[in-house]
Amino acid sequence: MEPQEFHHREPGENYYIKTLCPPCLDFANIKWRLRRKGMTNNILIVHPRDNVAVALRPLTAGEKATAKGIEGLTALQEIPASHKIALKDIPAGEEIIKYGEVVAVCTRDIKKGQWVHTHNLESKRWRK
Amino acid sequence: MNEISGYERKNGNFGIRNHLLILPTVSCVNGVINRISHEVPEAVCVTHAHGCGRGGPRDLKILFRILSGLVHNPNVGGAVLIGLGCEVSNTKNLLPLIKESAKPIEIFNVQQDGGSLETAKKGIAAARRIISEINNQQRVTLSWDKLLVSMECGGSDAMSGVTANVAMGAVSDWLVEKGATVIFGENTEMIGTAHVLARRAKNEQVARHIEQMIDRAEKLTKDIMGDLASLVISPGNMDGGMSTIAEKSMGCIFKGGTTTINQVIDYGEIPTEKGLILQDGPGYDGDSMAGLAASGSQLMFFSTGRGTPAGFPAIPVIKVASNTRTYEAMRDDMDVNAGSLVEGRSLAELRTEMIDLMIRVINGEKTKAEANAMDVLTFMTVHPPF
Repeated sequence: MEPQEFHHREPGENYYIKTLCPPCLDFANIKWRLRRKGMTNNILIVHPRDNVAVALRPLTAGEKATAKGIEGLTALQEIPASHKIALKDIPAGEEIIKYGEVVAVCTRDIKKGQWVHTHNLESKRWRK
Repeated sequence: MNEISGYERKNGNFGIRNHLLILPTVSCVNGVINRISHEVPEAVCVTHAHGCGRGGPRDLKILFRILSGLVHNPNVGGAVLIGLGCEVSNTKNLLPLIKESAKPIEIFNVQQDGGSLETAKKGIAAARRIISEINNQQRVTLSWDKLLVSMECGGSDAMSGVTANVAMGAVSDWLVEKGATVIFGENTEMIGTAHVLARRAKNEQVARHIEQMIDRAEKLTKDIMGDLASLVISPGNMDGGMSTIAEKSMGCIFKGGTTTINQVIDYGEIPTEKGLILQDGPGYDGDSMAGLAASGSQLMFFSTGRGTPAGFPAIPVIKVASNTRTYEAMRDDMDVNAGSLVEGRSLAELRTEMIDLMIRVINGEKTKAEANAMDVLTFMTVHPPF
């Protein structure tokens, strides 16, 4: 099989990881492309202090949300890609922490696994 | 493997490139520059739209700071300046500011040197002379504390603050730990984060400076845009998952990493401190890059989500795509795919790839924008022309 053909088919076989892909001309790209198949993380926690994480792709209701060091987190509702999911219960009035900093204040009790956006938080400034 | 090299300058700075810069002092002579660039393709020939017609003190300061700052930039080994004669930033006014760079510099003026064709001829001869002189210079070992790296973003999307800027922040922290200097600017994109940045300031004075800078940016935005100022966080941003201006701005400033902020510098000003530095510059990426270059950056990282090919004259710009789709669509322009974070790659792995690439680029490997000559020079003005 031509390496090029393999690359675009992404079969996920370890054997090919050491093959240089002509269109990419590098190894590094091939490695993560192959890992896509057995991909485990669908959310990203930007900072250890954060109480929300970012969905890396759309999550469906009931889908398990996974990231390094996170267990037992399930998306309670649909969460669009690049939107936030609560990592724990956040009572109304508490701060929303992302990037390790306060980015908003919670206006309605948020359950672990719920979608966090303008419907349940407000800005500390420039209120609408 | 972390060995880096560069070209030593007489003032103790080091360039990671050794370019001949051919610079017009005013837009009227851009045609002369184009003529020279055809004959001396190895020189970095830039054109711009400034040099005259603006007289406010702030604009004059910026004009002279940017033009002289480009000549002073350590990646520039020598320069040919083409002037007209009657412009505000004429070569007589510029010379005192660039003399001390102690680089080979030759100056011609169209009004005194026989018109545009004759000036181009003289410029071409001078360019060839300087190139043969600076080509003799060899690379020497460079220590990290001589390095000034800028972090920029433009054409952002919802993933910029999640993937690309986070990865660049990790590289920023690594660089600061190594003793290098990291600058980032774009004051309009810091609105809502004054309390965060001020808390990270080295001392009270720097903290006040940060607050003043962001206050001014916020007031200016409101003055210019009125009620539309709230669109600084736009419906598109919200669709992308950003709920507040603070969240959007955090995604932007994260590219500077998490270390102590040691100094706030004005647009194009050369920092006197090391470590992480903030520049009081505009949010528009082209204008911002000019300020960062005049401040002495030898290298830039530039994150983009929608995809912009823009680079900068004489300075290698490493393009970091925030998502795989843009990376694939603009393979000729993108150096790094931070979208790989979404596809199972760890931040540590991506950071290692970016550091390895950065070291290769410092040592001479061309970035995509550099190889494609996507050079853009545009810089900020505060008043309209008269």
